[in-house]
Amino acid sequence: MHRKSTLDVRIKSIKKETATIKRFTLKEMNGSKLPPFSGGSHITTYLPKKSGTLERSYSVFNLSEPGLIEIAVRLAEPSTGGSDYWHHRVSEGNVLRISYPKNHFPLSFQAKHHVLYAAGIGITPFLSMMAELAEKEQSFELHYAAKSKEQCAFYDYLNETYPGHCHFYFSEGEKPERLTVNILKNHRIGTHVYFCGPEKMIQEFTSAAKNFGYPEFNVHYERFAPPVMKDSVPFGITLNQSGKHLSVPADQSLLDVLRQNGIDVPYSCRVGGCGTCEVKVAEGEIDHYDSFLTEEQRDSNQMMLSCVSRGKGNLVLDL
Amino acid sequence: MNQDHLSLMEGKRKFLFCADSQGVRSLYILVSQAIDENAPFDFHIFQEESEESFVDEWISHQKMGTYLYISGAVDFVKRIQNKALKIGFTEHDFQSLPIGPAKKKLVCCTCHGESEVDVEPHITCAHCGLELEVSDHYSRRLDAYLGYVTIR
Repeated sequence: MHRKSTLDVRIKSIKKETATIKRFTLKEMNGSKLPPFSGGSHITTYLPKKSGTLERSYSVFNLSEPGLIEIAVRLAEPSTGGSDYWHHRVSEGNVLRISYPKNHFPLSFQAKHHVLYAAGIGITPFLSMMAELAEKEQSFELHYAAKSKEQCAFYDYLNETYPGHCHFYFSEGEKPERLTVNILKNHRIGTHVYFCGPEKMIQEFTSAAKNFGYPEFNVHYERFAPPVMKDSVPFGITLNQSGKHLSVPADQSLLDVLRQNGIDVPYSCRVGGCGTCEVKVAEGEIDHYDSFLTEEQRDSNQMMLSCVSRGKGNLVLDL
Repeated sequence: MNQDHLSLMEGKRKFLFCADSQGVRSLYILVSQAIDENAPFDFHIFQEESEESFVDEWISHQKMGTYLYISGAVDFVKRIQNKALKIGFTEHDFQSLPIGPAKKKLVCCTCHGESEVDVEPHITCAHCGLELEVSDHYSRRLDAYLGYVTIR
């Protein structure tokens, strides 16, 4: 049976959660239910612009009636286009194209206790995760950092729905409080930790967890933007099959260059999180920026994720 | 999960060494390495099975970043492993070294009957008569290895 690879949805409602965060409720065009999803799932939205279609991914949740999908978008400054589009060009009743829900940030089924760490708009994947954990009666807690109560999206909802599970940290106001990595020292054995927030927070918490002796297996995180690469430099690639030589400019990814040259590498998340765009490397030194490959796989120097990782000098690819 | 030798993991906050009288020797090198590295550790030697009731309380109070080593007789290692797994340790948080020959449970891929094997690479399934190859495909749920069809 043929199934379309995307879904058309109508914007049912738009709610302002904070001064910079809007929540969008999406419904099926003909009134049937949108596909179900597991905790931590996201959709890719296809935003039509004159310059081409913008693809942006957002975590999905559902705090209202069954069969709907909700996302929350923070207006980024500067916006790379996605959040500006959602905040300024989307109105109730509009029709948009989205992907089916996918999950690159699933909950561990082996964890004895789940600890969710959110900063700012990073709360969104945890809304669906907490719903799943509560439904399965699993042990969990949330640590959520925001500038203030006013800028803390879903504050009332979280307090009311999960009393006793939520800890908030507001960095501004009378009694400023910061969420620090030291809290990771106190989790009992069997805990899995999940991080979602700005790149700096993810880096800080993942490296602290590693330093405290957490196995990689117990640490989970999700990025929605590619890692920031300072001093990105161009590199060359040679394709083994054709002998073709191409160069990857500093401001483009290897995936972009391959696809522009007619090499149809499959891809999905484009932030180094899902492994879809992996390419085999025959020779050369790789700079890994992904969050998917294991340490052993990276050390083998035989594979890379073409959406974010780069080469030093020239790479020979098995393509 | 069972190793043929143990190695001290780098970057852990604390080590737990757990042995019976047979396993003590194999942990001494690691303990002295932990002392050299100034790493915090607990070391418990269990002489009798009755003393093991303390294990649950001991390991359940541990924090993330703790790494457990178990060494001793096959049954001892299995008992402690099961306690550790129940509490939340995974194969990423411990190593174990059973001393002495260990019998493996083998599940026939055809009739699902169970057989016990020592070290032999092939056996005949006692239930259906198929010749089986002892694989290293381990099922934690069954606590058994998969016996494949032998292809000659």
